[in-house]
Amino acid sequence: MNISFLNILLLLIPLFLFILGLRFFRVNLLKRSITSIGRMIIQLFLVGVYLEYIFKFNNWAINFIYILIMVMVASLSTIDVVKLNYKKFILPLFGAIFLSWIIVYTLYQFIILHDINFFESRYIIPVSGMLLGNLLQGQIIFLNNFFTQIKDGEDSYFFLLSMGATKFEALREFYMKSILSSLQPGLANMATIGLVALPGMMTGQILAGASPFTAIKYQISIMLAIFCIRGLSLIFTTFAINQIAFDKFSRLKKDVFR
Amino acid sequence: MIKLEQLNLMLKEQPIFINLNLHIKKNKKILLKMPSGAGKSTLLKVIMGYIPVNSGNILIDGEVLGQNNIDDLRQKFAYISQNISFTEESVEKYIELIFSFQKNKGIKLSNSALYKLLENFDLDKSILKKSPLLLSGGEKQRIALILVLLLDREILLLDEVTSGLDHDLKIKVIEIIKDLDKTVIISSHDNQWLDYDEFEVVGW
Repeated sequence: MNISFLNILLLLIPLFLFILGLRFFRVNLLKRSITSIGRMIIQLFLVGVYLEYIFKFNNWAINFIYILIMVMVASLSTIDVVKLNYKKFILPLFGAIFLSWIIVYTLYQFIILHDINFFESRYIIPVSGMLLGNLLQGQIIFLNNFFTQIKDGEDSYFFLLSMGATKFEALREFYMKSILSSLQPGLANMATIGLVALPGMMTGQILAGASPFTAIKYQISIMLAIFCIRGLSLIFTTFAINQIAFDKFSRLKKDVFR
Repeated sequence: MIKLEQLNLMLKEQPIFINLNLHIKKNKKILLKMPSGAGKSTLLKVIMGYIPVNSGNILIDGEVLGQNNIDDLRQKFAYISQNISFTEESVEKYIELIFSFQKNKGIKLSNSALYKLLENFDLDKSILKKSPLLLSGGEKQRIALILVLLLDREILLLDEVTSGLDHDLKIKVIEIIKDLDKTVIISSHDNQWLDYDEFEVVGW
């Protein structure tokens, strides 16, 4: 069933009444809500429009460029949020993210979508979007956590180095903790999914007319792929950091941050 | 053994060392005793190659410390800093971790030596099962010293290793260090070190 834009706009009325009501508690969210909701509507609307065209053209080159742009944006946002040096991190992160995407998506394509052309836009674009969006979250948690730990734990790191640890051996604990904290939300999410809230993608499919059972199968396959790509990309990033963030004296380089 | 030539270092636009020269002979024990902020801890880190200097050379056994020999030269040292925290779930596991490093594979961890050192440093064996999170500052300092002695490094750089100890324990630790057959550089505010002629006070 299609829904009309007028009805969506009607939904905004109770929402704004609620936001005004919040002022009673001195919570003033009016301005922020308007910008956030406005951005969401405009961005999704634009995405809808260009996806219409991308699906219509269904050209492999366009789709591939679209993926490259997504990978680029994911790399840039990670660097931006973690406040890293753009020049130093853009290539390694782009490489790590692209490599993770190509491995996981290829597997997904061969195992789940084997009847479908690799670059079929109806599949490659939304699936990659979900994979990369989750990977981005994972990268941000991981890198933030890692660099905070190494700043706070510099003395312990130096102690281990002087005790004969190689750089990797001395950093292993930091890597381990950062990987755990990055994968934790995904694990918790998988363990409780469906108990209360149905995942957004599945809800969307059901609302759009798919049978719940089909929706569940897609949901499971996507969640597994998301977990894979999140973990895999962390491993690649770990290798990249180990190479580029430290000098020959195993010191954290000053120009890692901007 | 350790020679510092014309060291210059600026940190946050403050000069820390200006043309610092220092020569430390083998098996000498040096006590850096200066007010806070003079750069005692920094000097230890500089010798370990943890902080880059603006100019000057650091020579270890005649070799200039540089990026090509740093890994080998660091193997001659042991460095204990002020706020280390141990990882792993128990002290015992942490000790095993250190002995599992590639470069330490050749060194065998002897339990009898470990127990003897625990006794010398006035620690009970039960501390091995304790979580590192439950250790006091003084306990951590002593465990770190024990590790350093087990690895038997030639040169010890000790940054405030007695700060968390009471008077009697300070004396105990100082007496162990003074009898070591090693080159030692100590940074400390404690006056108890001054009672022993083995330590030569150095400042700049």
